[in-house]
Amino acid sequence: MSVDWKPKIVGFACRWCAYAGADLAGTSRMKYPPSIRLVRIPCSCRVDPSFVVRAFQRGADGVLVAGCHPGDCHYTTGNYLTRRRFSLAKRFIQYMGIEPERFRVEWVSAAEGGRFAGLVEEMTEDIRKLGPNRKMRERL
Amino acid sequence: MRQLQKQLRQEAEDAFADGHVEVFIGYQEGFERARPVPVFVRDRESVQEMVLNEFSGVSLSKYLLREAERAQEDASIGIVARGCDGLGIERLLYDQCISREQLYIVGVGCPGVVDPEKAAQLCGEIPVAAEVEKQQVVLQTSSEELTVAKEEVLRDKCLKCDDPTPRIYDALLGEEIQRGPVRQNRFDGVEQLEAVSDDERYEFWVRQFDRCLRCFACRNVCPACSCVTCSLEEEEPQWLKRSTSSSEQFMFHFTRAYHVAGRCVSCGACEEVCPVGVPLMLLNEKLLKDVGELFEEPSPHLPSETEPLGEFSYDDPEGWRGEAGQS
Repeated sequence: MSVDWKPKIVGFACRWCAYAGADLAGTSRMKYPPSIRLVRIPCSCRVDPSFVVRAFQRGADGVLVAGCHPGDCHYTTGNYLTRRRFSLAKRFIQYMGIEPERFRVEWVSAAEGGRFAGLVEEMTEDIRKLGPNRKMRERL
Repeated sequence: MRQLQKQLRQEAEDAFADGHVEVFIGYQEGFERARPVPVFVRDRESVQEMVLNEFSGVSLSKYLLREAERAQEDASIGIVARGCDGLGIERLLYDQCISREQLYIVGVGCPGVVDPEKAAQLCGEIPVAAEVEKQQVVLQTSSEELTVAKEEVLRDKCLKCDDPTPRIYDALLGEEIQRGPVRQNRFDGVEQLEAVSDDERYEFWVRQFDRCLRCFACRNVCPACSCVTCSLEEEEPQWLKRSTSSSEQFMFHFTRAYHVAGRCVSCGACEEVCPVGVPLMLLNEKLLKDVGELFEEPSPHLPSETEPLGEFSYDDPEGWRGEAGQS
């Protein structure tokens, strides 16, 4: 592990809730680690589980998929499908050997800036303890 | 089985005589007696080429896609189906790849198929014939006869089979076989792998995937893998590179298995056709197990009108919590 390694987390955030939640954390001047790179998506169900594998391939140390709380989906049912898909995908990725701390699925509403900041902090700390991810990683 | 082969040829011949069957998918003698290969019989005279024995178990259902594409509109396609192929055919029917009216299914009540590799190890040579009896299997080589337990010589998938007889057929050879699994817990292998550490599991899969030649046989034989455009072949965006690096192998095997999640009929064809023995069913069974647990599907491998990942209920669990290491 190099001395200056810092965790890199790819976050897929639903534009209607989690992305707005992250925005709120920013405008409220909450502090959280700069380890997360957010990718704005129209709905958490836009995230194909292959995106997660691709992120690990390309050097992510952690992946976060964040969407609206069940019942709050802008498109009514998108996050219910997310829940089914990622219930399987999360277990499956772990079954292939990725540590569970490296990949999380969470519900974050547009009002939960504090929760978003806390989540990033928690994940960053967990991943710092694990060290850089080498699994599924492409050799450059 | 001798008897069944005779019946099969008769069924096929009658079907051709009626004139509505254009092609009959079955098995013919391979290079070795213990390795029959698929055959596409197109006329009445060739029916005698068809064989049906204790070794003829290669999955046939996926060939229906191509034959359906070629067939004349009103002609039907005949196919021999053991229980596993029966489920494969159901899968294709529910996916609307073929229509039931197009098919003439000759079902077989299957007592299990003999694995030629296992048999060769027991006999010291590849046997020329076999007979599956109630508890045991009689293997016949060029010089001797050997009686062994079923567990020792049937294919792994047959030892876990819940569905020896197809649920749909137009004619049935032999008797319907009602049978639970010979080996009780079908998820033994998955549970063993779940019990080891994440690092060990990763190393295990690296070793398995290292052998993969990316021949796509697992995908091509799979009755649940019937997309016209496959994400694994697309070039824009290119989800899968052609390289067989460890990283790309994970992408390939993750995607292949996940894309049939909730739709896998557990026929075991992928693992069977794999030339390098990647334990693909260990991936499929993990998904089957989780679909069963999370979405309360008692028999997640049986095809039905709805698919577990095509629907949801308002009180579904969050499968990533608890044991999956997330609070």
